[in-house]
Amino acid sequence: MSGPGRAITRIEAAVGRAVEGITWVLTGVLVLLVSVNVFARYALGIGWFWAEEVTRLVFVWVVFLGSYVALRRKQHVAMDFVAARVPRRALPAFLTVTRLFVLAFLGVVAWSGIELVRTTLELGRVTPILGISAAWGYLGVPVSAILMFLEVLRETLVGEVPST
Amino acid sequence: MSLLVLLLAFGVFLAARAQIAFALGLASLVYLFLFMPTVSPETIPQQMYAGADSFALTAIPFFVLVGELMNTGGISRRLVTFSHTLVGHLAGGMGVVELLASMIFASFSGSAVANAAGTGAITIPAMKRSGYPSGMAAAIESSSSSLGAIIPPSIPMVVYGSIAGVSVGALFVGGYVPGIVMGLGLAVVIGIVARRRGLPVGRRATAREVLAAARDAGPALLTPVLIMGGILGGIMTPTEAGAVGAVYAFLVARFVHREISLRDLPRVLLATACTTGVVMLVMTIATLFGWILAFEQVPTRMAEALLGGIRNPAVLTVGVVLFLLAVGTFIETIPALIILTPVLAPMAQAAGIDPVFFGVIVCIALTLGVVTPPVGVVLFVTSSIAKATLEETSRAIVPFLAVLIGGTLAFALMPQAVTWLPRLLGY
Repeated sequence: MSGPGRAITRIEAAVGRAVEGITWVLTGVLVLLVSVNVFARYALGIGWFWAEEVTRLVFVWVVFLGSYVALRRKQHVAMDFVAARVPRRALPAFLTVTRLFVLAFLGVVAWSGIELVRTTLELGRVTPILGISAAWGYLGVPVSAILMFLEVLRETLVGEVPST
Repeated sequence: MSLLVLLLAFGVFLAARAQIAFALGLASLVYLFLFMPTVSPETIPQQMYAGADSFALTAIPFFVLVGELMNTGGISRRLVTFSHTLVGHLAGGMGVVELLASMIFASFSGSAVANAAGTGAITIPAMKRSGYPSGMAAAIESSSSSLGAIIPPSIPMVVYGSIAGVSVGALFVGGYVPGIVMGLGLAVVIGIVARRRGLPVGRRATAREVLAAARDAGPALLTPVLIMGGILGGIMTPTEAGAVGAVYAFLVARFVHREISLRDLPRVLLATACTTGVVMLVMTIATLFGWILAFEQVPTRMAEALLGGIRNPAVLTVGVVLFLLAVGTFIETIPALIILTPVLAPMAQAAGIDPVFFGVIVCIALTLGVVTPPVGVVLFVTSSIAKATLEETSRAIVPFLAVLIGGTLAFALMPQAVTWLPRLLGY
């Protein structure tokens, strides 16, 4: 494995472990938030007016971080009908070209996502119920894109060939 | 012309082995760059965010989690034992036991894949021991697991309902009759296949054994009652019912069965987030893709071009089913659903088709894609558990697939057979 490949593999592994930790905690929080809110409404007779908004915020983060975790674990579906017919020796080059395009896409999403967060903060747009900045939700998009960029970059540098 | 570029780009990136979600995103980028250069780039993250920001879709991780907890916490195994005491002596033996266990599992969890992995790990080896060839065991497990997304709760129905603006509760209830009828159809075919091969049936369980198994599975069997009862009683939204169901399943696995500990939670929750991420990444990026399609008025134009001449609702529904069965063979259920619902739902509405009926039929037709060769996720899962080749399973599944497809077409022609139950329950 080349020098940059090894370095990024180490970095990505550390980042990945940290994100996985955050992701399972948030998923647990999501379950508790919704179920405890039902309990509060019926058993205690109090509905938390903020529950739905917080639930959606947590869900959005579970989605965007979960997308990255799923990418690390090779769970996103791709079609093999052409790749399976590419000669073995040409496969790494074939995959690298595709990955460069994916990196371009993730780069655009990360950059435009950061722009969106910035303008949202500048305009001071807040959520209707909690009154916190709407940027807290939007932030999930660029964070996820940057994390996925890191993983695809690692695959590219290492020249990983998926097992089919 | 511009639309052709969009679809062509999508196809090229798919062929280049980009993940479906990224292929959609790249096609959208190409389109935005070429034909809509004045659109603010911030539209991209904004649309992606909008695709995920939904309370209805929050039900997805919950119905995934219930399945994960059942498999980790010993609930799946108890359901199989319980089914065994009920139907193990009928023609088909273990095959019918598997079918019943899958149908019960389907009423807990919303995903065909979780169903196949959960019940399959127990029933496929048991079917093989009782004489079923590997391919046949995998085929029976696959076809009965496909009922997982038809018998409520159902993740495809959550997705369809939230895109098309149809009540998820009504879609859920609409899935009962087709799910059960198609299950009975499968039972008949399993019986015939087993008899032809002279496969053994078990002895009839004694009343005492049935009771013991029922008592063991009883607390878990309350999960679907809690979920669907909560929804139908108007007490909880489907999302809330999913969360409460997950908590209940955990409590049963933890305190009644004592087969799960807090230490298992990180793994189970992370697996849940992963599956959610797989479904929802496509959802977020497809929302961007769909925004472009809508901007170009593609859904309306396509509907006119394809089906402008068709006024007959029955012909239209059958046409859609055949189209979706074809699509389902090479695109996964959820991505196909996300891309096509915005096109199909308005079409059905224009033809005066009942939206609940149409939603149920669309979900069923696309769900069958998971068990149709050559590309069916459930087939991969079950074949690997059974140690059968994909070819063996694909050959063995033909008679079962015939029942499922025949059933879908029959229901496509009988809207009342699907809608009477939701009507009865006030949807």
